[in-house]
Amino acid sequence: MKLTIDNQEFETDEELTIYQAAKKLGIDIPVMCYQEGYDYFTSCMMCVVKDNKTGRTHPACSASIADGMEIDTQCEEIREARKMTLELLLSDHVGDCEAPCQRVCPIHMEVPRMIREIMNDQMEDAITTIRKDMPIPSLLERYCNAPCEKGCRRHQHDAGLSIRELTRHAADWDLRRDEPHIPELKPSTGKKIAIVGAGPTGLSTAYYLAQKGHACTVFEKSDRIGGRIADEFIQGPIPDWLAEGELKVLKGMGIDFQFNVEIGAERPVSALLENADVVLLACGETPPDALEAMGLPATEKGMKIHIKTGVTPVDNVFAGGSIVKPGQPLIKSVTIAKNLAACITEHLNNEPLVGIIEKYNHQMGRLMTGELEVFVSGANPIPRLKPEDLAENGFCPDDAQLEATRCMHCDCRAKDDCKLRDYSDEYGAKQTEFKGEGRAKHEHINQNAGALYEPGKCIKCGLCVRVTQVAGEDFGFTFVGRGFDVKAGISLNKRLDEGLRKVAHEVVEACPTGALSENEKLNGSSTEPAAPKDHQ
Amino acid sequence: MSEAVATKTCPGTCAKTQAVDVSAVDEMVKRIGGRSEDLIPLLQAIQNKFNYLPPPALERLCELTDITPDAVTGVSTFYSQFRHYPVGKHIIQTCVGTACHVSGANIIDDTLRQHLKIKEGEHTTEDGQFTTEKVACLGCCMLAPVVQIDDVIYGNVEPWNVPKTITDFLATTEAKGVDGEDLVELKNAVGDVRLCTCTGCAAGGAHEVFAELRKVVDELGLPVGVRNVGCSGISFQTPLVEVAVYNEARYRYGRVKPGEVRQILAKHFRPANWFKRTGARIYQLLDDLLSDEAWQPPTRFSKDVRGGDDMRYVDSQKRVVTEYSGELNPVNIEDYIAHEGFQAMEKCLKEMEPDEIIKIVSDSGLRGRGGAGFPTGTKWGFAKGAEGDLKYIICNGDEGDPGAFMDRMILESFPFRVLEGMVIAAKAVGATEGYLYIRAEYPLATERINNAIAICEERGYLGEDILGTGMKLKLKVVEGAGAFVCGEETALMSAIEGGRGMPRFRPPFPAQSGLWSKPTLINNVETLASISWIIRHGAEEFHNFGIGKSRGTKTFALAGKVARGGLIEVPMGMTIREIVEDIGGGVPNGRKLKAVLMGGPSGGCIPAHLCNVPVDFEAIRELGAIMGSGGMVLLDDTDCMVDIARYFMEFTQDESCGKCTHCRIGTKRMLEILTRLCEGRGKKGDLEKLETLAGITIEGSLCGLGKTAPNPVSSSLRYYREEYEAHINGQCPSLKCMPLIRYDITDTCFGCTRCAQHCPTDAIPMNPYHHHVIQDGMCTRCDICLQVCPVDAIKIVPK
Repeated sequence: MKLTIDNQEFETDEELTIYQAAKKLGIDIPVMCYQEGYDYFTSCMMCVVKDNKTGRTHPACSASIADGMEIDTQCEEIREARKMTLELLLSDHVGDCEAPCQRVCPIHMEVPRMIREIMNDQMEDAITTIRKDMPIPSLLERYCNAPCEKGCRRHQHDAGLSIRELTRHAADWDLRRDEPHIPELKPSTGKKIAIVGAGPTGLSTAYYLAQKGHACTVFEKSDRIGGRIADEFIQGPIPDWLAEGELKVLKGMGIDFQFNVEIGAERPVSALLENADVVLLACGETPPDALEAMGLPATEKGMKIHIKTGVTPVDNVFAGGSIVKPGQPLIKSVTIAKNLAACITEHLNNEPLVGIIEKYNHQMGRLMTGELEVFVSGANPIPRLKPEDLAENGFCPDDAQLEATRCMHCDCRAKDDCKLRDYSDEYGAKQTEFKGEGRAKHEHINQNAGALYEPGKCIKCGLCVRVTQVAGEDFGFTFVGRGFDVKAGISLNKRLDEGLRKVAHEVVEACPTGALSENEKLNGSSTEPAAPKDHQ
Repeated sequence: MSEAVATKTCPGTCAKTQAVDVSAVDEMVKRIGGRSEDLIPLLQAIQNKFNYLPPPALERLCELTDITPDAVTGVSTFYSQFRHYPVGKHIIQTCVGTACHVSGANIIDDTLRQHLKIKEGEHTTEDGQFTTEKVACLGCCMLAPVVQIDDVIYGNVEPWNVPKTITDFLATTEAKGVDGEDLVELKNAVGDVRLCTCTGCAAGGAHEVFAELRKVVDELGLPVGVRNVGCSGISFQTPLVEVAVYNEARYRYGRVKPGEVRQILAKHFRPANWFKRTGARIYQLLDDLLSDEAWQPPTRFSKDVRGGDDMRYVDSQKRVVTEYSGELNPVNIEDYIAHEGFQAMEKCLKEMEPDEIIKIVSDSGLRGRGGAGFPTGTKWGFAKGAEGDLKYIICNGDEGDPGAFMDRMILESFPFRVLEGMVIAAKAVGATEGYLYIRAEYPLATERINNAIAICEERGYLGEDILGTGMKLKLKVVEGAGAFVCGEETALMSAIEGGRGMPRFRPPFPAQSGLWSKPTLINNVETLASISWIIRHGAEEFHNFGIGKSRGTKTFALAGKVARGGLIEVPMGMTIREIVEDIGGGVPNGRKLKAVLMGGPSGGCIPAHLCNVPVDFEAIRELGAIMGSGGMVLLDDTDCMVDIARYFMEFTQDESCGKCTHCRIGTKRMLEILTRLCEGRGKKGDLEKLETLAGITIEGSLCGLGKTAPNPVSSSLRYYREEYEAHINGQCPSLKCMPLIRYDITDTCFGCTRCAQHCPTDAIPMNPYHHHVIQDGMCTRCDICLQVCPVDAIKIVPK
C-alpha cells in the first residue's frame, strides 16, 4: 500500500490505522478516546483527518489506511472540525481548570497547590510553586491588595482563605534560611538586557527574564532595591533583612546589580545599548526633560510607549511601570513585568509581540444550589485564621497549616495534564460557542478510592470502562444510561473504592480530562469520611 | 443468599422498601441460560417477575452466571424498557409517535396525569395503582392518539374521554380473545367472515368483534367460517369485517361494533335449521322493538361496486409484500401453503444455485427497504463471498420510526412469508443460523413469529434438513428492549450479543465481520418479505414496477391528517400526491395539506406544492427528505413546522446512544434551540447556530441515527424558514406552540357552561347565561373547552 500523509509518502504491507501510520511518520494526530494498547472506540471524533483523494473525512484512530490515500491531518477544514468538536465537549464540561483564586491572580500563581504544600508541611515545594510565577514574594505579599482572597470560593461560605498571609509565610520562611530557594533557570540565551531601575517593575522583569535564560543588569540610582515600595507602601525604608534576602535570591539567579548609577546626560541610554541587546526603562515616573537627558525623544507629554508591549520609539528600548502610568497597585507592576519579559523575549527571537496569552481556562460559572456544599464538604469547617502579629511575623507554622486545611481545592488536579484543555488551547476553542441551557451539577466523588471522580468533567470516551474491563475489576466502570445523560459509573452502583481495587492509577493515567484524577492524600479533615455513601 | 431487601428507590415517588425473593432468578437462569447473549432476556424475565429490576436480583444474576456487573449495569440502563425502581400495578403508556403527536398526545398525557392526580416530577399514583409513561410509538398510528394500559390499547383517545378510558379499563376483565384459530372449517360452509386481530385492529376493538362473531355464528348455527386474517391495511375502517358469500360477492363492513355483528350476519346468511332461524327472527324482532332507533348499518362497501370513494384506497395499490392481505390466516401454515406459500422456497432449495438466486434478486432491482436503499442483491453477494465457517442471517424488525408500522403489520400478518424470505436468503449466502430482532413494543409480532417458527420446524420448513434438501437453518427471535438506535445494523448485532446497542465504526461491514465476528447478512422485514414474490414471478415482473433505480413496490404507513389512513403498498414511481389524494382521500375536516413527512426522525418534509414527486429514492432525497422505512405522516395547515422539528429532535436526542460527541451533545443543543423557539424565547442567531450544529452533527456522527438526526430541521428550515423567523419574534403562525397562544371565548358564547364544567383546571368560572371568560394563567391549553363548545365560540389566538 502506498499513500501520503501530510504530503509525506508512506508505504507498508501492514494493516494499520491512519493514526498508527501517521505515528510512524512522526505525525501526531490528536486523540482523546483512544489510547494505544486498548481497542478503539471512535467516540470523541477529535482524530478526524481528511482524505484529499476522496474528499471524505475519517476517524484516524479506527479507519484503516488504504492504497492511494492522500491524508491531510492539519488542513483548515479539519482544524475547524476539531475546534467545533472541542466546543461541543466544552459546552457540557463542568469544572474549573484553574481555581478562582489562581484565575483572578494577575500573575496566575498556582495558589491551591501552594496551599496543599503548606498544609502537608512541604515548604520547599511551596516556595518552588510560589517562585515559579512570583518574583520578590516576601516584599509583594506584604503590600499586595490580594485579589486572590476576594476570588476565593470559600468567601461564599464563610470567609476566604488568608492566601496572602500563607504565601508570605512560605516566602519569609524561605528568605530566613541561609540558602533561599533559587528558581529554575532556562539555559543561557546569551542575550543581554539592561534594566534601568530596581523598583517593583525593574526587579520583577529582571526576575522573569533571568528565568528565561537572559543575562540581566539592573542599574539603580539609589543604593538599595525597592523603588516606590518604600515611599508608597511602607512610608519608610524596607527592613534590611527583607531587602537583602530578596536581593540574595535575585543575585543568585545571576542578575547583576549596579547601584548608585544614574542614567542621564552622562550615561545615556545609547551607552547602555552598546553593551546590551535590549534596554528596559523601569525607572518610575520620569518627566520629559529627564527623558531628554537620557537621550530619548520626548515631547511635552513624555515619550510614546505602547501600553501592552512596552515598545518605545527607540529600537531595542522598552519601557514599563510607573513611567507609563504611576500609582498602580503593587501587583500591577509585577503583572506588567511578566508581560514585558514575554514581549522582550519575543523581540529577541524576532517573533511578533503578543505578550502573555493565558492558556485555555474553563470556568464553571456561578454555582448552583447545593454545589457549594460539595466544595465545603472537602474542607476544614473552622473559621478563618489570621495571624495575630500581622505586621511583623505573620503566621506561625501551626496556624499556617491549619488555615491551609480550610482550602476547598477548587482547581482541577489534572489542569496541567488534560488533553481537553491542551487541545482547546491549541485549536482556540471557546467555552461558550455552543452554550447550553443550564449545565450538569458539579459532583465530587472521593470515597477513599485511589482516584477522585468528577463526573461533570467526563467526555464519555469510555477509556476507564475499557481499562477496568481489561484489568478484570470486579465492579469496574461501565456506561450508565444513554444519550446526553450517559455517565461513566461503577457497576451495580457500588462505591468508587470497590470499583477501583486494582487499577486506580491506570484509569487516572488513561482519563484524557480531569474527570478522574489522582486522589492526593490530604491531611486531616479534608478526606471524606469512610461511612458508606451512595455516589449517584 | 436467597432473600434480600431492595432499598433502591425511584427519585420521585414509591419510596418503599420491598422484600425481594431472588430465588426466582435461579430458576430463570436455568430456563434461559447464563451466557452473555442471554442477558437481555434474563433482565426481561426479572422485570416481568418483579415489575422492575431489584438490585438484589441483579447481584444474584452476576453470582449465578459469567455475566459481569458492568454488563448488567451497562445494558440494564441502556434500554428504555428496563426500570430500576418499582412502579404501579398498571402501566399507562401514552404513545407519542408522530401521528399521535400531531393529534395531541402531550395533551392526553397531561390530562391523564391530572386525572390521576400524579404530582409534577412523579410517575405513579399515590395508591400505587397506575404509573404513566410515554412510549415512542405503538405502531397504531391510524388510531392516534393511542394509549396502552397494560396490554390493552385504546385508540382515538380524546382529553374529555380520558376518565372514561380508565374506568373502562378497570371495569373490563380480559377482553382479549384467543389469537388466531379459526372457528370452524365447515364442509358445507356457504361463506365465511374474516376479521384481522393485529395490534392495530385490536386497538380498534377487533377482539370484541371477533368474540361476538364466534358467539353468534355458534348460537345461530350458521354454516359460516369465522376466520382470522392478516391485515388488509384498511386501518381507517378498523375493525373491518369482510363477509364472503361463496360464489357470490364479498362485502366489507367498517368500524364494526360488537352489537352490530348479529345484524351483519343475519343479512347475509340464514341459520342452518328452522328452529334457530325462527329464534333468530324473534330475537331480531324483540331487539328492534326494544331499541330506541332502527339499526343504522355501519359503513359498508362492496368489492364489486366500483367507483365508491373508499375503493380507491384499495384499487390504487399493488400487493407484493402484502399479497393476499385480508384473506390469509396469519397463524395457519395450511392457509399460507394454499396461497402459493413456500413455492419460491422449494424452487430455490431444490432447483437453484445460490448465484442464480442472487442474480434474480439483483436483476429485480430490489433495494433495502429499511431506509438506506442499498441494493439487496449486492449485499447478498458480499455475504456469500465472505469467508467463514459459520454465517448468520438477521431479519431487522426493529422498526423504530415513530409513525411507521409497516414491519409490525408484515410480521403480524405474514409471518410465514418473512420466514420464507429468510430461508431463501440463507440459502443464497450460506447462512445456517439466524435471528429475527423484533422491537419490544410488538408483542403480537413476536408471538406470531415464534409460533410460525415452531410450526415450520415441525413441518420441515426450518431446521436441520429443510424440505429434505439437507439445508440447515435455525432461527431464533430476539426481543428488543427499547432502543431506536438498534435499527442500525452494528448496534443491532451488539444487542443480540447481549450488549449495549452502541454502533461501531464500519468497516468492517457485517458481511465481512458481523455477529460474533462472523459474516452476517442483515435485511429489513419488508425486503425479506418481497423475496418469495420475486422468485415466483421472476425478476422482470418486479422490475416492471417503478422508475429509475427504484423498482418494485413499497409499503407505507399512511397516517396523520389523512382521511383514510392505514398500511398501503404501492408501485414505486407513483407520486406522493396520488398516494395522498387517491389512496388517502386527502386531508380531512376541510383543512389544507401543508406537507408530507417522510422517513420519520431521519427524514424530512415534502411541502404540498412539491408533492408531484414520485416514490423514488433519489427524487425524494433531492427534496431533502428520504424514502425511509415507509412512515408517511400528513400535516395540515394547523401543524407548526418548528414544533414538528422540535418533536423529531426530542425523539432522536432521547434515542441517541450517547457515544459520538456530535450526536450526544449536538442534538441536545439543537433541541434546546428548537424548544426555545417554540416557547418564544428564541434569539437572534439561533437559526444560524441550528444550521452549524446540523452540519457538524451530520459530519461527526458514526451511525445513521446521528447522521440523519438533523434532517427534519434542515429540511423544514429549507422550506419554512419564515415560520422559524416568526418564532424568533414570538409568533407561531399555525397557532400550535402553546406558550405562544391562548384560548379565547368569542361573543358567540351564550353561557351554556359546558366549557366550565369540563375544564380540568377550573380556569373558566361558571357563569350561566353569560359570556364565559378563560383565566389565561390557569389555562393549560388542554383543548377540551374547544372540543365541547356546542357553538364553536372558543378560538385560539396569538398570545
